[in-house]
Amino acid sequence: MRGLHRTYRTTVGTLRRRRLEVEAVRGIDLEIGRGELFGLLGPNGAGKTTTIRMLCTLLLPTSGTVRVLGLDAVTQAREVRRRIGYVFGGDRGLYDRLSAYDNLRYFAELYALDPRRMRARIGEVLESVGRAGREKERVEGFSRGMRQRLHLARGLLHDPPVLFFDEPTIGVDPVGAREVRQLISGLQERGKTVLLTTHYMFEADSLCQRIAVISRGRIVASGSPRDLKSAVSDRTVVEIEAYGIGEPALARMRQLPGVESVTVENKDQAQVVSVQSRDSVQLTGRLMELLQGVRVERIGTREPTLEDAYVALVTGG
Amino acid sequence: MAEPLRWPRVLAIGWFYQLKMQAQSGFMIMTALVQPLIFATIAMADQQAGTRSLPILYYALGAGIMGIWSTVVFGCGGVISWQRHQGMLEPLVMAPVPFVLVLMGITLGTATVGLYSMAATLVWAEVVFRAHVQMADPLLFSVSAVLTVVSLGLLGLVMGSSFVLYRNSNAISNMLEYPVWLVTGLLVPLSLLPGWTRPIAYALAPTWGVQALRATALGGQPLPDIGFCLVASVAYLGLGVWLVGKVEHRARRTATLNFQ
Amino acid sequence: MSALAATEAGSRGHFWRVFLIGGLISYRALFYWINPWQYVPTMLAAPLFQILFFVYLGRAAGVGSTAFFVVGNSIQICSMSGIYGMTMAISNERQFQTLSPILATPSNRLAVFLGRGLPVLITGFQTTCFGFLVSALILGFRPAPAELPMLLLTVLVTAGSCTGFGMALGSVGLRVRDVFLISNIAYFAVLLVCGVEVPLSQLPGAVRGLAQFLPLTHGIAAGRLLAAGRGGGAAVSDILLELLVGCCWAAFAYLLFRHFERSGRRTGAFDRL
Repeated sequence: MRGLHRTYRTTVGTLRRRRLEVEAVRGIDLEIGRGELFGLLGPNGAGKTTTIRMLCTLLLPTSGTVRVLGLDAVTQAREVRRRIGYVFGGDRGLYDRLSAYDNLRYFAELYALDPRRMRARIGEVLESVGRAGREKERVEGFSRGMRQRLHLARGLLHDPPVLFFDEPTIGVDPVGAREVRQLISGLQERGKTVLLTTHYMFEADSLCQRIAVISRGRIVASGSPRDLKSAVSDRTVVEIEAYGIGEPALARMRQLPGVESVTVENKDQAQVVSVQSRDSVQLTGRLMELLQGVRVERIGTREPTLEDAYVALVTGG
Repeated sequence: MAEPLRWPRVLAIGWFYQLKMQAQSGFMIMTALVQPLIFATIAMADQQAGTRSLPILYYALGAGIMGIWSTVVFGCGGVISWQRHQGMLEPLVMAPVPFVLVLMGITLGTATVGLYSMAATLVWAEVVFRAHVQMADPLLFSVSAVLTVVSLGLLGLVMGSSFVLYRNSNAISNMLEYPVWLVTGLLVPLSLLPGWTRPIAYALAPTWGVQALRATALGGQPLPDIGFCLVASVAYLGLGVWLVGKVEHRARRTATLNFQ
Repeated sequence: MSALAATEAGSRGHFWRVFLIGGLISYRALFYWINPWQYVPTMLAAPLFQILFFVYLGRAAGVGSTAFFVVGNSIQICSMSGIYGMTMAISNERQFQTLSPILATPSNRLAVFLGRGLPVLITGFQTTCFGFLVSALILGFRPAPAELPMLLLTVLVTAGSCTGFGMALGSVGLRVRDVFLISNIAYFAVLLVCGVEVPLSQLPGAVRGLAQFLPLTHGIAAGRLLAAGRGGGAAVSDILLELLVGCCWAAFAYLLFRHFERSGRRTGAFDRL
């Protein structure tokens, strides 16, 4: 069946989409290979969902072309729709008053599944998302994780060769999220092409062969997780756990020579300050000078992670 | 300040905010304005074409109370579920004042929005149907109007607290408009209705309210009706306090304070 | 192309499956009042009280006949399903945020859209029949027996045209937040405008003109002729007009829906649904 398509190309070329004079996506060029598991990373409002909705034929690009499996998502929308599955995160998008089975049944009809195989197929997809056994219950009583799996099942119903996941683990507990990730990587092993958006670095790091980081509607970097990390490999990260570092001190840290970015995270009552720089040898000493009079719990250096690379990219460091 | 002395304030502030919210809600304006005007027009058109003539004002007052009843049915019937839906039930129950006062403020505020209906149907009668709207006893008319609103608000409290025991209470609300409009004689004189409906009519405040308003507007003996309206209000209050206590207790025991 | 899709998504067989089965499933999903605890009070008790209310109101004023109010109201109550039910069956997609996944499917939009109307139409038909039946039992309503089949046809056509009208409201509801406000006004306004409670001849000319374009007006006129035993021939033109009005509303509704789908793809309005 997949032999029908010789090549798989997704080209999101120079998209320009205007809304309320805000350009959500400002010129994105991407090509995703067939059978690839591709990650789209970016902060909220970066244009991830907009991009994915254009690929799913739900949005028209203001300019540029979108092709899925060589088919134009604008002019051949119906053909594209047959071949894609779309799974989005969150707990909406299901009929609360229907059972899980009926929710899937409805979409089985809309996707024109073979009527004789419908029941069996719904059983299969429920099985594959680990939701068999509760299909007769109404969705209104389902937890977030169960709803998410039902979304997944719906995306898989017609066994599409291309799948789009828009933040599929958002709000799902860690165990459930891990199962969702296993499922996604299983899809790739079965030859599916997957595009995934996420906020979670480790998710992208562990799942995707290639990643694009998108920020303010533009792709700011792309490559394998290793490539992205190497972009910051010449840097070191000094991590300081301390109490009561004020804004002036942080501003002065940013001024230090060689410092690329300074980010603060609150952990319990303590602050964890990560300082990325190219010159760590003298940096620690200088930082300690700056932090005189502040209670420092711990200070150390470490290798940059994908998260550091991401932070550097989206903060423009 | 001793705590019971604060109670009127609690009631007043609840009433005020509810009024403020509801008076701007599209649904409430529709229920209180458009709907009663349509019914008033139908009744007045029937009156003009018909052989039996009751004064236009008779119908205007009835249609006005129909509107108050609608706001009470839809605004108060689901009051507890609505608060729960918004996640407001827990903070309200937790507050150190009797919960029933909070609810009462809400139901009285809702009933007050119904005054839109009364004003609208009177203006309509004057402007469209050229009726001469003048009250025989303006002072007692105002007293009757306020009392009618209060008694319907308290009836709303009784409904609000008893409906919460029934999962599909919004469906009951859907069917409570017409029968009460009919049985309490708002547009159809009680004498035309079957006798067995009379006890139901006597138990419902709109019956006394509309009679008091008609007597003060068209001339008549309003005091007995005003008295019965008062008696009904006190009875609803007692019943409401008892029911809300029960509901609150039950909700705490069965852990149904938060949403779902 | 997926191996599972045995029927071509554009085929006629698929159209009917989506229309019938899909329509029924989505009706169950979106029509609030489907469970008996909602259905009995809302779709049976409330309409019944409505009939009683207006019959008594007519008696109080000494106007009209019992049959006038029974036929008018019994037929009008089918719009309970047509107006509210249809508004729910389309607009509530917004509440569940299910429109995006549906529009991402290759299914035939006309089948998806019209399929929702059939159960609504049947529900409306039932409501009116119930109204006639109870009126016969407790109000002594006796329609001319010879005209019963034509009367039922009239009810079916009118339930259909109310459904078409409701579809238009439902489509509007995909864009407008408080569509139930409009549905509510519509449900009560037809009582006055469409000759349900007041003969059309008593209404101002402009209102009479408006009534010609609304559902119910012609259906009720036909129903009154038939109930009075005035013969099928007299009612045929009214029945056809009612059918025409209903089809126009349904076509308008579908075009509006497609317009919203297209403009939604252009402007991103689905995101805000």
